[in-house]
Amino acid sequence: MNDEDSKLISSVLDGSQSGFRLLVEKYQRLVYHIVSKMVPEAEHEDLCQDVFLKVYKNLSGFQQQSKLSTWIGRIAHNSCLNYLEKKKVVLYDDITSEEQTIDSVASDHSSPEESALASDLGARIRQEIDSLPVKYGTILVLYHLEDMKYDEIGTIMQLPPGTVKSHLFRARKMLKDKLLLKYNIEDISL
Amino acid sequence: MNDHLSDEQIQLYLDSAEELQADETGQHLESCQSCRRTYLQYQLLAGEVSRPIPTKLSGDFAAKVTKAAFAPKTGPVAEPDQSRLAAWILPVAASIGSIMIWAYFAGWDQFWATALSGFLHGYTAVTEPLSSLRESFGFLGDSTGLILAAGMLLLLFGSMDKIIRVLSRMRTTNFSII
Repeated sequence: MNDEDSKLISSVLDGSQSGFRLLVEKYQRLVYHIVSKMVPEAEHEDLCQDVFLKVYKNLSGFQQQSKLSTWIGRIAHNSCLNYLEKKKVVLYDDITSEEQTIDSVASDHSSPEESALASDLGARIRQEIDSLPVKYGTILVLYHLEDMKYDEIGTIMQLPPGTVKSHLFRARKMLKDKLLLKYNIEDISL
Repeated sequence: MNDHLSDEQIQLYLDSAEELQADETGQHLESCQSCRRTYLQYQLLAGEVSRPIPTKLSGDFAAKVTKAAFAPKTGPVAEPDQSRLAAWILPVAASIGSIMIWAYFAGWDQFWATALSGFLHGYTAVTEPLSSLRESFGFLGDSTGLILAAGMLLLLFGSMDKIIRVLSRMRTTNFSII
């Protein structure tokens, strides 16, 4: 764990409000990335707040053997799982065959108007990531946006690093195939 | 190497392109248009996925969370309850008093005096008040003493419910009286 995080933790444990605020500012993006991929938008802010309150409450028990980001990420992931469990949402209903995914793209309900709204490639890709199975979307975001390694993502999501890697590869392939199938191939090909 | 790279090989190269610039995969991508096209699609995709997502949290999110974390605990606060303390002390005092008086009239004053002297470090300090009490009320006779003793026992048993209630409350609050 880096010195900056150690100092932040010490200041929060000493009762510093400004220290805790800095910690929230530093990690709110990570927490938001996880929460936004796992729960409906209406719950984002409340769940993010809930995550940081848990962080504050349990910080004295943080062993400092892992990275603070990984620890906070795991709290965020578990909070989302608890939320989904309460709402009785089946989260990891794996789509085992990619053909299923392609079929689901073909029968996508988004209207041409909705597709037109996603005018730039980034917006289209974000739209497609949201339609991926939750764990694929979460892994994509943690790997590409948070620059996390397989083992760090594995710690957060309680998956072996090898599984994280295979999910990441599958997610990217799924995303590429969906985009190629759904949009004019010239739009995303170079 | 086969005619074309596998999807996994292309993605591995994508993730570690800098370290593998000159390896076999890189060389293949230079020469194979089909694999290069797939690689460039992945590269474009990875570039777009890596673009920051605008967070839709409120502007003062950090301040709001900090305020909530450091807010004093709300909800019912346990106030020291004097009546609970009194409810605990009174039955105990009454019980001890009644046992001592009963013991006196039963002629056990010597026994109690000896026992209590261990606590009070003063045999005479204890025996003298008890003896004077016996002298003062001795004229009442043994029967009155028995009636008084019975009254004291009733007082003890009458207080028993309070004692039990207080003891059970102490158990549920980890032996904290207040």
